[in-house]
Amino acid sequence: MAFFIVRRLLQAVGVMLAVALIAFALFQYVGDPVTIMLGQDATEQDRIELRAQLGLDQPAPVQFARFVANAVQGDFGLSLRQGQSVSSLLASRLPATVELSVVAAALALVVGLPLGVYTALNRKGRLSQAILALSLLGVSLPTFLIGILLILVFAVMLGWLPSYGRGATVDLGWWTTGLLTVDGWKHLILPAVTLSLFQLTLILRLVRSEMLEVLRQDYIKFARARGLSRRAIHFGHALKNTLVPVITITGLQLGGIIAFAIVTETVFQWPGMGLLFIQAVQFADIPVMAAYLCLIALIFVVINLLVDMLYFVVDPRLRIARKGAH
Amino acid sequence: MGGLIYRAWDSDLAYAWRTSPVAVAASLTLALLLIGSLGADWVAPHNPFDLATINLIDALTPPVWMENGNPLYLLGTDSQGRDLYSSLLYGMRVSLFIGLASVLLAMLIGIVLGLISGYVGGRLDALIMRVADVQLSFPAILIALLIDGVVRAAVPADMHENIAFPVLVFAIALAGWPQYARTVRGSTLVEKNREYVQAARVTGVSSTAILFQHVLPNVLGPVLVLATVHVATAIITEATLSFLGVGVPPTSPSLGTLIRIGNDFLFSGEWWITIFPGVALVLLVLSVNLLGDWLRDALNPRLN
Amino acid sequence: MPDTDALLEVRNLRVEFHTRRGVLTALDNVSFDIARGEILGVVGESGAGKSLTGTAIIGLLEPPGRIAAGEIRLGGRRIDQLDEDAMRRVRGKEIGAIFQDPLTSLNPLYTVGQQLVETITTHLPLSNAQARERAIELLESTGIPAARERIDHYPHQFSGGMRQRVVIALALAAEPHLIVADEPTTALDVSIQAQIIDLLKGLCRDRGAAVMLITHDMGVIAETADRVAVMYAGRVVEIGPVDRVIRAPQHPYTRGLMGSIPSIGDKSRSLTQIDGSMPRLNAIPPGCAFNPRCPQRMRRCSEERPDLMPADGTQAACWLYDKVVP
Repeated sequence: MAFFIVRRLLQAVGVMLAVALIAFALFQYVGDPVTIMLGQDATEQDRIELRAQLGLDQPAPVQFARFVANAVQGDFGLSLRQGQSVSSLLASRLPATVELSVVAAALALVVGLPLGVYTALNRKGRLSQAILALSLLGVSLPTFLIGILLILVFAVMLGWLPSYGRGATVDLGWWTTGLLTVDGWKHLILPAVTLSLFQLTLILRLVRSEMLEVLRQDYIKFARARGLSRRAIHFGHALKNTLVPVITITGLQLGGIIAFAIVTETVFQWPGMGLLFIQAVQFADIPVMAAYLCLIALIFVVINLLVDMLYFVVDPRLRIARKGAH
Repeated sequence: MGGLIYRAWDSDLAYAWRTSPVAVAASLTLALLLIGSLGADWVAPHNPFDLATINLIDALTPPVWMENGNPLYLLGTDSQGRDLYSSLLYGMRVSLFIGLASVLLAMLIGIVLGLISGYVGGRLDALIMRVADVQLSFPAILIALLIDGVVRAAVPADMHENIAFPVLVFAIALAGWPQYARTVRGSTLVEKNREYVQAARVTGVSSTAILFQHVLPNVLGPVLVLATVHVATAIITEATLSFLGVGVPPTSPSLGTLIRIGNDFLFSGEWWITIFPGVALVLLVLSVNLLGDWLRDALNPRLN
Repeated sequence: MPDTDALLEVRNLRVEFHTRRGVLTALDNVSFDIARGEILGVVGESGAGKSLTGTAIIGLLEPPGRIAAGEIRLGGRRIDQLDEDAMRRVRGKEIGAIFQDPLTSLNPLYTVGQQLVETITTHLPLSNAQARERAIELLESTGIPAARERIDHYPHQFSGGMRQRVVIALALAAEPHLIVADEPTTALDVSIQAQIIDLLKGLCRDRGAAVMLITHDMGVIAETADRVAVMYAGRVVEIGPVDRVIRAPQHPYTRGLMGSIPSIGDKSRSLTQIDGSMPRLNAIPPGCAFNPRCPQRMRRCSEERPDLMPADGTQAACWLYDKVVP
């Protein structure tokens, strides 16, 4: 077990290094680092000094090491577009994205999972067919379009909910939260629903197909032959066996929500990291792009690691090796 | 010849298609959309790119069934006076082109890498699969955005428009190859150990020939299902990128671009400028998805 | 006239499959009895309908298959038309089942003990603690060493033979009167097959449970069964006491079957081979299903279908034994 963790940690570090390499390459070869740091108006003298100071005359591996050292401390230099330090920019936007993502993920799970189970257990029913049809629609609607439609209906036509921004927020240390005000929640609803919809339909379809697969298994047949109640079979046996593979895939999907937030934040002008990233791409703001990339990679790697461990905890076949078989 | 057609019509797949109202409806819708967009030059009543035919006075006309509607412009016009119906058809053509091109490219890369990975095995296999695994855990849109952003930064601004299309196709394809590679690799591993392959090797048939003549045909079934679904995701990805402003150049707008432009007019009440391209996009993707779903069920031997 | 001694009575059972190419008759006019405590073997080639008969008796027939005609009575009571809830109470408590593959018959996520206790408490009014004791006894009686510890092990921690013992324990847990065993040893190593069969036989004898032993292995039947029914193309073609059917088969198909089994020491006899193969369900010939391959075919055989009639020591569905001379 310990061996497993260590190996996965090493893999994670490897991935992070690879991503750092890509980010480093972005810095070095796309655009000029000196210009990035000093801005367009620096004198030639300043440039030469900075070049020596930064060690840009040093061999590439040394520079890479320096880059990694800086990155680990969160120093990515200055944003080309805004002049602020990249890390402080990202930090100020992080809470918005995190809150949005977490609420959207929770929504997707809380609605998607039960619906998936229902449509698997009631395969032929009318309601199931309707839900499935809607889910297909959900997969076919791009997120931004869902956002636009929701804005059209709830903000423009009905006027019930606001259509942009985060609303009133409360400061808790360096974190700003919109969860403590009614206005904050009002602003959160439409973007959260928009962001959750795609994941919701994916979870629904995944749970359904996994559960149908499980229900075909021999141990379910044997359980029925033993006369166990429907509840025991569906929820005790089938559901538990469904959740094991579903948990891992879902965990990875939910990590994707943070990235998908890019689109939602754009539609709703939600002041999060995603919106920052898009603006960086449009502006070719390399430091911000590189920093966002590293941060996202970190989040993904951590989620991957957690999911792997979860799998370990949940499936006894991985936990307990085969003992003396005879 | 007639016998061949009859046999194809009577085959299990054709029968499954014939008797599924969903598959037939989706196919018909898709066919209509394809004809309309690929034949936009002939089908569209106006040419939205010909500045001479655009009349600013007709700007912001609502659809024909609403008050102030104009039968000349069935679905209304945008802020420049361009006919929405025509723009829509041309836009769909762009979306389709990019979607299909990127899927083909992704398939090419994925199939080749998957065949190599499965057949050669060893370190190369491990490397390719590791890259695929890592890439699979990142959402396609992020990868596509990144590639697009990097190119944007590396290439001077005036060149952007020229290379926008290939970059877009490349970006979406690069984001999508891993799933093909994985599937093809799996099938290759299975076929590699079959007797006919071993026999071919013994008689000195080259590996390339084995791969392409024997292994590849066996792999195409699942690849086809993947590709159908992938077309839908590719179209959505392109639309999203264009909506975000980093997709196709504004001179040849796709459905995503049209939606973005129309979005600005949502609040002032001219909803049709953004909604109709949206509907077209949904219809396109929905029919592809329905067909893909049906195809997967029809080709799945276990559901019988 | 109900045979009051019989535990299970199957009369004129007909199972149909409705497919797009028409109606397939998988079981046609199948009739047999199983007395209390007796072991009835059911043999035949793959596709002859043996497993299907067992499935129909347990009530686990899935659409597009359905019971189109006939009756199944357990202890005098009809069970083929019970609703799902009533049938559920019959399964496990009155009829137990054992399937072929012990690996897939057990839920990998639950311990053996949990699965046993669940089955026991579903049918018997015992507390969890009592059920656990009973489970340990059951495991001990099926020959699993150190049952008190192993009861908390997961299925993957047992070897194939051990797992099948667990499956047998599960099937017997609620003290059913009849066990339907569908190829219980086919998936096991040859060296273990005899042990498991002996175990099954011994346990059932002790408990006075009858067994319907479905297999294609005549050797197992010869060692274990009291009577045997031979199935062909969805029909019962011969049924009788085991040593009669094996030593002096009356039906031409059974004769061919017995003649094709090599026996040690019998060097002189050459193995017989029956020409052709069992017809597919959509191509069953009129009259007797075996008639195209029968060396003793008469004209009548392709016109009228024979029912089971008394032959020398057994019952055979063959016109050779028709006492009524036209």
